[in-house]
Amino acid sequence: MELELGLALPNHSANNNGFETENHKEYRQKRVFLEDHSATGVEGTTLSLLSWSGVAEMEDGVGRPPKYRKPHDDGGPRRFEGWPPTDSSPRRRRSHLTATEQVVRKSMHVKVKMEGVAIGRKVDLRDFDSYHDLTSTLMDMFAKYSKIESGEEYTLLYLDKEGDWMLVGDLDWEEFVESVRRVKMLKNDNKMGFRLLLSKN
Amino acid sequence: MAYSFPEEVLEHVFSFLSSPRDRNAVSLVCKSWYEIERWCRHRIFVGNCYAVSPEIVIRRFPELRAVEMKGKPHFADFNLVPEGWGAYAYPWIAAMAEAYPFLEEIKLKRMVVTDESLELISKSYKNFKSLVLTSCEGFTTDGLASIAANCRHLKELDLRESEVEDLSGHWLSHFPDSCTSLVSLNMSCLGSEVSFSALERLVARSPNLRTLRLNRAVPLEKLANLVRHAPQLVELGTGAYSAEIRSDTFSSLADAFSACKQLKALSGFWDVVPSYLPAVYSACSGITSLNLSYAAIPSSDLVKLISQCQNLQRLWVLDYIEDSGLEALAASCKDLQELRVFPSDPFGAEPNVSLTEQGLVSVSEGCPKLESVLYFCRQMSNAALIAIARSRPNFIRFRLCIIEPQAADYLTLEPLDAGFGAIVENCKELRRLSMSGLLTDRVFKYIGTHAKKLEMLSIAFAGDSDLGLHHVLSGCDSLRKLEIRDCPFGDKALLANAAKLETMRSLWMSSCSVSFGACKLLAQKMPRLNVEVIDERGPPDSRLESCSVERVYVYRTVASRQRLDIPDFVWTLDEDSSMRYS
Repeated sequence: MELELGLALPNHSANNNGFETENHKEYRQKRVFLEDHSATGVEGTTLSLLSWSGVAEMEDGVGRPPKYRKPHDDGGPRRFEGWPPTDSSPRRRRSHLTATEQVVRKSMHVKVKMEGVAIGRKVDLRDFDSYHDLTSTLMDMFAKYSKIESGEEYTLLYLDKEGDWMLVGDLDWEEFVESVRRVKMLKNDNKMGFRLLLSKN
Repeated sequence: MAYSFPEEVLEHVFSFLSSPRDRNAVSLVCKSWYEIERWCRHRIFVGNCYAVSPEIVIRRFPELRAVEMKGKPHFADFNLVPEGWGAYAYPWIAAMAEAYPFLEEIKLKRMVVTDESLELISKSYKNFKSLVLTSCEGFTTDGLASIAANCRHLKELDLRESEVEDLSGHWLSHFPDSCTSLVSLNMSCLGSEVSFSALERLVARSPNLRTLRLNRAVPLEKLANLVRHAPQLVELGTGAYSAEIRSDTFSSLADAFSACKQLKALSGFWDVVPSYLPAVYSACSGITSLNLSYAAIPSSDLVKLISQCQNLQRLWVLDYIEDSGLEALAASCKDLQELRVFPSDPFGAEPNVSLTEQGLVSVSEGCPKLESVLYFCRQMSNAALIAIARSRPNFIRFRLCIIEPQAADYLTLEPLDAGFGAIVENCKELRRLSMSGLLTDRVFKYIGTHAKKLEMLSIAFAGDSDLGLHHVLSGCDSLRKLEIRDCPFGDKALLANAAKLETMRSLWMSSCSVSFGACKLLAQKMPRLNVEVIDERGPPDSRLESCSVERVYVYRTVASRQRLDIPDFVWTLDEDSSMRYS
């Protein structure tokens, strides 16, 4: 399992096998993906490579009202209504199922972040064959590397292939594996959902 | 001087003109030609249902037999037009039911069609032959049942991409046993299972059936039975293409296909099990059109099928084909004219397949007849676009969607201005262009300078200032449709080019910087333009006039600017020059 510091900006290159420190800011072209707990604002020398008149392409670019951005904009790429223009809108999905529901995955690695823990993890879903298998491994993993109060309850969420955060457990295991892109564990404050009891037995 | 030609002769000459543009040109020559032409026009195409009213059409053309019409703007396909905006077919259907009892063909695109409308069609036109509903919505399978039951001479029922409320599959059973006239049936967008025996009997008694596009619910095991009844098929859309691997199912399917000597187009292929693909191989040498956009199978399986189709002219496929598959395509299908590559996982953060700009470069270099492309990918470079432009100056349609908005040239980190500039400069016959990636005002300067035949342009997340829009509006002589989203284009360019807008069908701008004040001014200056402010935040005059509107849709019209079906989130200019909703 791979380690990944949670404070830095997510590295979107295909091979994620290094450490990222707070000072290493990774750009995805001009745009910035901010995790909700990380430092905001991006300054960097790469902006001066751009040859057009410096439109600072921050989250709120000039003349681009971010109206359609999803409210939970953490961890995934920025989503715009109707983009990309593939006609696989929910409207069309109702008529006939599209091929996005049959994604043939090449990579089974997903990032897992636990709230309050700086260091994220990556797991290979091919190592598991059930929710129970996955969650008990996660419990062991985070308990080993971080100080977790035993008896603490966590809610498990996953980012699905449509970019929505969903409660883990709503799909069959196989469907979940096809759909999941990231996992996060939030401290439970009376939320309904998949509960992980982090006691040591 | 009196004419030496009697009217009948002119009418006979005009009868050889089928294109609406030619007919329109003829009608402008002089008043008497206008009169003669309008009495003998049988087919009409209305590109924007709000550009004209049913009354005006009926008054001018008393003898129509075929009507084709489009409603919502193209960006409605991507959910950018709110529900309830308009494009209702009913007023047209009702008016035409009175005026054209002999109407035979209705073709609608992006319109709202109700069951009432369908019932009215089925009962009003005694000789009704063809109904084509593309990307329409608002009706249920009950409406289809009316059509099936009442249209005695129905030849064509095509529901491509429409959103139908699927109450049940029984509608198909409403075709009477006496109905043997079917030539084309496309029900691929429907979800429910129809009665297979009813379908089989319908196909068996339709000797003229040339096009049959099934829906996903028709199982593969039953496909052979259907195909066997219709060896004369030219276009076939399968249902789900999966079944348990059984040799009898396979051989039955293969036999059925080998009897189809006229098959030119294949589509469907949901849930493909690759082992069953060889069943269609016997038909592949004749295949010119292959739609694999639902076939989620690896590149090697796609390539095995495609390389059987040496005469392929059109291919729609998912990005599972990858660069390697496109290279194989370029090597084996030298007649290829149109390629569309769709993303299998458009919302994934990382690429799930190895499809890059290289695939498009290979096909552009290898296929000399390639003229139409729609390509989704995740990286692009100016170098690749320049190479593509140089290989293929014969492009007519070039639509490139780089999935990440404002993605720069991944090699140089520069904008893609030079690349798209090369496309418009080299491809002198380019009629349609969709752009993406990081683009500055400079690309619009190239477009305005070179894209003289461009008719439709789609822009997203591009440009720096009004200058970009100004270049396009002032330079593109043939522009008819312009659709823009999320660009910093505003009032100045719009107002400076107001007159241009009357030469176009329509302009769509959403999430740009057009102010409400400018919309009002434009509507005041240009009485033959309808300037629709589409804004779901409440009345625009409850905000500052300098505030940007969510969306503006501008189109030329000879009908009233206050359409009667206007919803409460659309504002147009009133007679007293105040912007309000009616």
